Amino acid sequence: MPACLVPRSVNDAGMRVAAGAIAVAGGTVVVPALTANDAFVPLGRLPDLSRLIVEPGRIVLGATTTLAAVAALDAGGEAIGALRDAAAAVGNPHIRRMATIGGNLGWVAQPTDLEVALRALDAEIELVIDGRRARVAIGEARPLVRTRRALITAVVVPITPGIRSAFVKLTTRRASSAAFASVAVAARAGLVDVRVALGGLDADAQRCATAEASTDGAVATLAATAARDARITRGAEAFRRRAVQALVERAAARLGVPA
Amino acid sequence: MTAIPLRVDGSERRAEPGHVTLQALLADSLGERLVRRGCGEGACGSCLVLLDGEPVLSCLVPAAALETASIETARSVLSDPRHAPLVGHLLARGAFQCGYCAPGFLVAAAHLLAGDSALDEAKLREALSGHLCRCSGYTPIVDAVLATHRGEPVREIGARDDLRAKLDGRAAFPTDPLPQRPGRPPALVAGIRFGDYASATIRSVDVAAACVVPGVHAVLTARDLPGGTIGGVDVFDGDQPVLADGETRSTSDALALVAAEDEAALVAALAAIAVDATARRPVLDLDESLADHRRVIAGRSNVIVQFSHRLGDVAAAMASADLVIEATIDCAAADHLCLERDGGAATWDGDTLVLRVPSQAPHLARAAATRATGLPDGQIRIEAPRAGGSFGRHLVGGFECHLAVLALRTRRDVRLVLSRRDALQHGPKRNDFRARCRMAVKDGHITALEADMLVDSGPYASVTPSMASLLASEAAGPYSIAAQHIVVRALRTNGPTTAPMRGYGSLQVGFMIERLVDKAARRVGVDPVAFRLANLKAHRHDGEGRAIPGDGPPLRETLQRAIALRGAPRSMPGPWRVGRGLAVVHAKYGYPYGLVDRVAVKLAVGSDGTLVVSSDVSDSGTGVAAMIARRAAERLGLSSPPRFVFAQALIDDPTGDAFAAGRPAGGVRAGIFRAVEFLSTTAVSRVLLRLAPIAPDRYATLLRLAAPLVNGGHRALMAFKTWMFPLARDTASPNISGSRSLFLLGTAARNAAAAFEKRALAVDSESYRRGDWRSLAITAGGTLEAIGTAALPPGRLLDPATGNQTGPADFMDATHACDVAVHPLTGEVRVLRHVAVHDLGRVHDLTIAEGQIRGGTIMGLGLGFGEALAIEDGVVTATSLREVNLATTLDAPDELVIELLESGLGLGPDGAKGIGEAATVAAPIALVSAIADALGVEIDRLPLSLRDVSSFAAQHSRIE
Repeated sequence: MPACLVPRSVNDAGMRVAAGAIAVAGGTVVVPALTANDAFVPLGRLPDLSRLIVEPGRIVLGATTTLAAVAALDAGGEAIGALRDAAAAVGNPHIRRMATIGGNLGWVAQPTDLEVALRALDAEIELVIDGRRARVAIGEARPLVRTRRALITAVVVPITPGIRSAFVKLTTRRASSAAFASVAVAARAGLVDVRVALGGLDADAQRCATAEASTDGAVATLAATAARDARITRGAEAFRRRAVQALVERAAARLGVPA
Repeated sequence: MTAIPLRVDGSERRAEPGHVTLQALLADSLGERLVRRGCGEGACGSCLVLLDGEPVLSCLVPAAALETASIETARSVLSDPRHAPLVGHLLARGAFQCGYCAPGFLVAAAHLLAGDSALDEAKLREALSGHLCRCSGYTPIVDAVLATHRGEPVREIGARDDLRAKLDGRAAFPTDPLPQRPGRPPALVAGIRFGDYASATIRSVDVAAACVVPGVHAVLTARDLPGGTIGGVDVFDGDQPVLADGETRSTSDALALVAAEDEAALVAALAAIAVDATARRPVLDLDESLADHRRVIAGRSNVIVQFSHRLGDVAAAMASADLVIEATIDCAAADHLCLERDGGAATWDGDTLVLRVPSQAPHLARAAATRATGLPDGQIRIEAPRAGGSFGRHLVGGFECHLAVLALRTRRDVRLVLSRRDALQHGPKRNDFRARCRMAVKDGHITALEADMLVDSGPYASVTPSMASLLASEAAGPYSIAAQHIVVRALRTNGPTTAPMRGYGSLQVGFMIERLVDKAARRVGVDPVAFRLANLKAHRHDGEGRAIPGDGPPLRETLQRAIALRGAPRSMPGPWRVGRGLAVVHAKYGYPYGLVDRVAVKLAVGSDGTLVVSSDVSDSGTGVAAMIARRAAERLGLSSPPRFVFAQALIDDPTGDAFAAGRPAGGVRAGIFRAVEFLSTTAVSRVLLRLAPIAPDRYATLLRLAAPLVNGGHRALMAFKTWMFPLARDTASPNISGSRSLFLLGTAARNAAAAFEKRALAVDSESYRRGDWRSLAITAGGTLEAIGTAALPPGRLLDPATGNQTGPADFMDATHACDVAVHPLTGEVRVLRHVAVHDLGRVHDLTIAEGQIRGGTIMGLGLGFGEALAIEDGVVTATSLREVNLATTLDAPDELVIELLESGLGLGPDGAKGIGEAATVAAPIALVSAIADALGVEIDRLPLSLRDVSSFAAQHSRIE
């Protein structure tokens, strides 16, 4: 039976994780691989990790906030539409009720739907690393968790007035199916200040700087540039480029900008 | 470690520590059957429970994190009167078939109904999308929950007592936890070390380190086998080892077995087995297998069996044709993906070894275990009443041999359940198929068909010869084609082992002919419906291939109804493209190689007054058991059918002596029976297999010469067998669903009822007329019983023209019409409307019939698009259910229309035909036809992925 190391505090949890124990919140990623010889740290009873703070200009989501709760967030308005979309697109309803935002961003081997959405929203991650609290950009969190055994404690999502965002992905089935490609787009009305994040194409989620720079207010240009310049290392390149084009158009349509 | 206190379904329980997950704790420590592990990763929902009132996937909850918790399983739902309407609606709709997934759905549905006051279908489909069901097509489950939500009255509940038992856990599945038996140590847990390569030389399998792992009771390699070395299906060729020795020919080959006290010791021991192996270049491609004579996997050639037939002058027809269509058709391997994982249990009942395994061929399973252990026949019992899905998977052997030898070595009860990863990577797959074919068309009519079909058997013969036989006889599908030259060869490869899947090859060969027909219609410029109507068979044929005077099969009716029902095409906004596809299926049904001669059904009443019907039907959710009971009830004029009980005696003693008289056949009788069985099936197939490598023309000549002798000898043997063993089964054949079972078992049930009535009238006519079964039994001395039998009319074991078996056969006649929208960039496919029109001969139970058609259609659509089985270098790369893309509640067609026709032409009671397979055959063919139409391309392979569809669209754009 795996050893259950109940933490006294967030810092205590961080130290135990740093020492080799496995952080378990929703358990949807790590429990299938758990063996009798493992030690794990249950995070569910640390209130600091389940906080939801809504402040002017940002939302702080504790790491054990479930994906179902993220998908149903009242706060944040249209600015965090991509985050809600992405949370609602993970796995299936049972998984979303159990899985947490921290586990999704830290322990899944590949970049997740949430990470793609949060890239587009310029989110930051709070974590405990080497006994210290730190805040890093979303793109830096996964390596810190996987190589230095950092513990994610919260996700900080900026709320930029006037921004709307949306997330879409391409899967074979509509539940419990991995994404061939995913796209998050955040922009002001008229496709101004566009941010485009892409997933499913590479070992990392990516922002598409050329697409963001090239926008002339036309969805077709945005989609074509993203499809052309996406970094694709996971095979089926031509297919994934076509998919990116379609998904950018679809995300833009959700923002009310037709192709 | 101290026990974990829990409140489970209202009772205080103490669970043994040591389990990793809550699911394992509930199932393995507390013996809870209704908390099942289908995937272990939260994809299937079979393990759903309420934990302190909230739904959780118990396979994802670490047991060690539980302190005190309140857990509610499906048992709480079933015992709560408030949920009686939900259970009633589910049963009334026959919402589940195999029932393995049912407890998870029950928990989820009950929770939804308690919490949401505004449920609608869309919400329900979304909420239930975390549950997988392979049988039902989901709609009846969703409908039942909706009906409960709306407070609709429960319709009369049908006869599916088997379904209620599956729902409430009275029915044990083979991999269910074993109850702790008083005075006996707990069952050991077993595992298998499979080979790592598709083909390898094995220099050594060193188990020394595994043997000393604490808690390990046995580690066995090929050299430790107590009996014979041959496992698998020994009908056609005894070529599959229980454990590989010296080489592995497939990743399905097992190298070593472990039995241990617990999961931790098992995992450690399996990891400690050191295999010294050198990978060889595997033979994986069918053409390579046929052509490369230097790399023969076994025997003298990779050709296991061949069938060929010629009809008319193909060359002349091709030469004079207006158009000759050529194509290479590929159908890749697929996984049956039963929700219940592979495995079972071996327990000791005194000196008798009882194997509880999923099997549609329990006699074969028993024969395999007998060979592997060296135990006498009477000391092994197979209990195989039901399984969590099969779809053909359990026609071939499972792991009965492995369980048996471990139990024999340890003298302990043993339970073996493969992980989903092992089941995916090492279990059998649907046969890969390739056909090179040409079709000649003149004046709008198909004049010739030439097809060279190759079918992958994996490294062993398995039951592929019977499938190859069917491919040969069905090549022309529903069409009249005067000139044909058909060659079918079953080949060995180093791919996974194989088991036919729903349709038994009809999908592959049907896909071939329908793709040719679509191409021909397009090239000729004729509407595909009109082209089909102009070429449909004008006459029905019997199983011998002789035309039956009168009308053709009811294909025209199914096609015309399907066209009427599909209506006008729907439009979709750009860039979606719409397309329409068709599949007309005319395929032999339930047609094994080796004739099933007879079945027996018993109807009995004891002093408790319960009327019981029994036969040896293994139940994978097919409803055959329910059908038997209903036919008996009809004959007796009863309003409710008798209870069905699996007839273990027919499995224990296939001579039928034990079934009839309660005592098994004696030594000499049993010996004679075995000799007759061997001569009538195995010996003939062995000879045919030995001849397989010779050239097709010489092979045909030999068959022509040998046929009179073989057929005469076979008829004589059958006559002798019937005389000496009037209740005997043909033990080389499975006892499955389909027309053959419908005919045989339905007729036998009615005969049993007739015989019962006769006896009852003679014994106590008053009690019989009153339906007072208890009094009737008492008057009869405690029990009144009668046996009914049915036999197939004789056929020919060897058709001199083809090498095929011929005999009575039903045909599934169906048309599916599919309308799709396809996104050319993403490859997404949306089924807008799918129409399934089936002739079922006679519909005895509308709920079961529609359920089979709906479930088969959804499965077929999944097999056509989306379901993926990536195989690289002969190794299945998928490790979890998530990767194979089973359809969920959210993947249903926008509209599914089912219409059932009743031609009365089936062999079964009142002209009924089998139900289950035709929809799985027709649906993917119609789907691919529609996708090809939408994109304006020719698509000659199954299945398709998003990438495939997008690529086809891109190619077409470049062409344009």
